[in-house]
Amino acid sequence: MKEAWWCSLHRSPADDPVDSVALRTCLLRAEARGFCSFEGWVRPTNDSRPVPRIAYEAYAPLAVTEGQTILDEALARFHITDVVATHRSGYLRVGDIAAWIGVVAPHRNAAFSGCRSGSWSTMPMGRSAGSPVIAMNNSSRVGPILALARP
Amino acid sequence: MPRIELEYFAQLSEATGQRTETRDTAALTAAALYDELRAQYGFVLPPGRMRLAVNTACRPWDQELREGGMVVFITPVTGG
Repeated sequence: MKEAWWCSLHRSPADDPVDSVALRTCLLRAEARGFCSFEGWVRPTNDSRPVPRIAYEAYAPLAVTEGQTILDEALARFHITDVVATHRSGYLRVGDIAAWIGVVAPHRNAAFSGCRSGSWSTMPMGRSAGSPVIAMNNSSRVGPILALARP
Repeated sequence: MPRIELEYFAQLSEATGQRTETRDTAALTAAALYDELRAQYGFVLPPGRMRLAVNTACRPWDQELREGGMVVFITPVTGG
């Protein structure tokens, strides 16, 4: 099990706002020469209906197994140095960061690829019906995993 | 008749009015259990729109139920 995908510096529960600066700090590696990140923000509409806020619920135990699988795949598939990802739980307002992914790599192409492709495409960002949202963070290595959102 | 532990989320939690439930069931599979719950609580979602987790691992709906099993129905993610 790689320890790269969790960070002792990021101990806030997933109910707290995403601290992108702290997460980026988790990824600082001497051998890394490029960093790429993606933030998913809460949308103001869902199926053309206004969404003032959204509630994400989490089934934490499944996060460990599913999250580990996804991160292992990402690290195996791409020439990346490290990866950190998280997903919020609790009530979010429009524009809040719901998901955050960061990747560091020796080269830019690998950083972009690792962040946007492959395993991450299996990680729905709160809009893919029927699929779990994988979330990873905090001191328990994996926070919420299945974000069950409802407008 | 196995005793099953259930944890409900989102609209399923709202429909049942509870977060967890311990249930003795005659259902042999997770799909049959969901049908049983659907009849009792009036769940709107069909199984095809959800995923199933048994003992913290994703499983197919024909998963056989065993004593003490922890069953969670993963509802669709919307919005966001």
